[in-house]
Amino acid sequence: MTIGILDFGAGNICSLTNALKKINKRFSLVRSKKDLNKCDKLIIPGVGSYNAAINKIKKRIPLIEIIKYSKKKNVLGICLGMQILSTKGNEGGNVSGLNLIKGEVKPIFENGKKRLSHVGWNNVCQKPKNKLFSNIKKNEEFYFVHSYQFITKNKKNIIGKTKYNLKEIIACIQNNKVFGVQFHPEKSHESGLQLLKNFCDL
Amino acid sequence: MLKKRIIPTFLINSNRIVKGINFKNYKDVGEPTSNIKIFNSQKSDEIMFINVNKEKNIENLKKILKNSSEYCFMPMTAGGGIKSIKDIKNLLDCGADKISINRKISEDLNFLKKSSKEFGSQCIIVGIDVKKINNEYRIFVNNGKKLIKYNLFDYIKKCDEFGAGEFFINNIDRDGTKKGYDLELIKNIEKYTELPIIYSGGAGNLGHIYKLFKYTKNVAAACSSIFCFGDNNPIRIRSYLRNKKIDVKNG
Repeated sequence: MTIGILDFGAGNICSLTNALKKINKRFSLVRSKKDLNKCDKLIIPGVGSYNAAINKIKKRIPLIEIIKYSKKKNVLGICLGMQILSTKGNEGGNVSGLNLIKGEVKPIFENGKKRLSHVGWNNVCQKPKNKLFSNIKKNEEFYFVHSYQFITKNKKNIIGKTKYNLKEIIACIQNNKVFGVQFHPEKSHESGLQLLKNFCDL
Repeated sequence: MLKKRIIPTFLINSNRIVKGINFKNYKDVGEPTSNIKIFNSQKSDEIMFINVNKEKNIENLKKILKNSSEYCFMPMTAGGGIKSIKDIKNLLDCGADKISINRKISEDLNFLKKSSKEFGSQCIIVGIDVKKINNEYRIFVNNGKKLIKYNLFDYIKKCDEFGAGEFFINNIDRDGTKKGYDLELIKNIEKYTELPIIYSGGAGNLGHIYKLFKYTKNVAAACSSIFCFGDNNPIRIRSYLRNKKIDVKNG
């Protein structure tokens, strides 16, 4: 079993590879269509902006290849990697995403005006019995750092939520084989590593 | 609910951690990688490494991050001496999650816009070193040596507008003094931004951290002396704060 890490030149690949090493999972970096089809699962990491990320991925792999891949094999998007699973985003200009989970990515605003960043450890209320959360405490804390959020009308795709300034933010999403987490499991101590292990063991 | 953050902050000079008073007289206090291991084992909220070597050369910082990130399953911020988009990319590739930039942004606000567009604003922390001159808070760069022209509060508003993700405020007058945080300064800054602020300078005991959390909204406590020169650790601090009804991370 090899876990592919999508390397489009903007993610914090290093933290993720360190985490996979720590939980003893074999991994490879995915930089082309050929690399993609050699791995058994795919993780899309993410530091960067929506627009920059989509454009960088396109330069290496046609988006349609990732979409086809996700029908057969599991995909996990982390932070920005989760956001680009959506239909469209507006960070750095309007741009279409992978559209693997219907939804839109918009800035976190308070009272519709001031810019906010959701930064720090927060509790995640998880959908019970989802395999992604095996052996993870109810309401466990994970590390978030984002200023945009995933918004979807499809409630069934939401498998984890968190609360920031009295408002709910989507923390985890799933559509069949595709998962996304807004927080950084590779930066969330033991519970984060457990979540990555759960994904690898799906 | 979002937890209050306690962030061990370590100054790096070549391969060692140093700590001074009022940005001067740095003393050697330890080795970075072993500290990462210790603070990771104590489930620290985050950790910061700030480069203070005279040449402001990031090569050492890169090496330290590369060696440390292997043991670091918490967010790691790096800063000090960043001059280009390539520097940011290099530090992220070595395992940093967030980058604190001070001088370069004060010289060129468009650099802030450009870097937050490239890496996402959550990745870019604007570092501001503050000292009181004639009863007015002023901004300094270059380890507290060079005064810059901006009014502090105008600068904060500008940086918020130009895409900052967080602010890292260093109070030079309190740095290393263990006299407690200057709450007046931070409460004033909070009026000008809704973005998270990391506040450094003055924490000498657990009560100081409690007061900072009690009287501010979205401010994290950066601590250095308290860890370098005292018998303290993140677990002990969180447990003290939890007893005083401050919402901190578990463990």
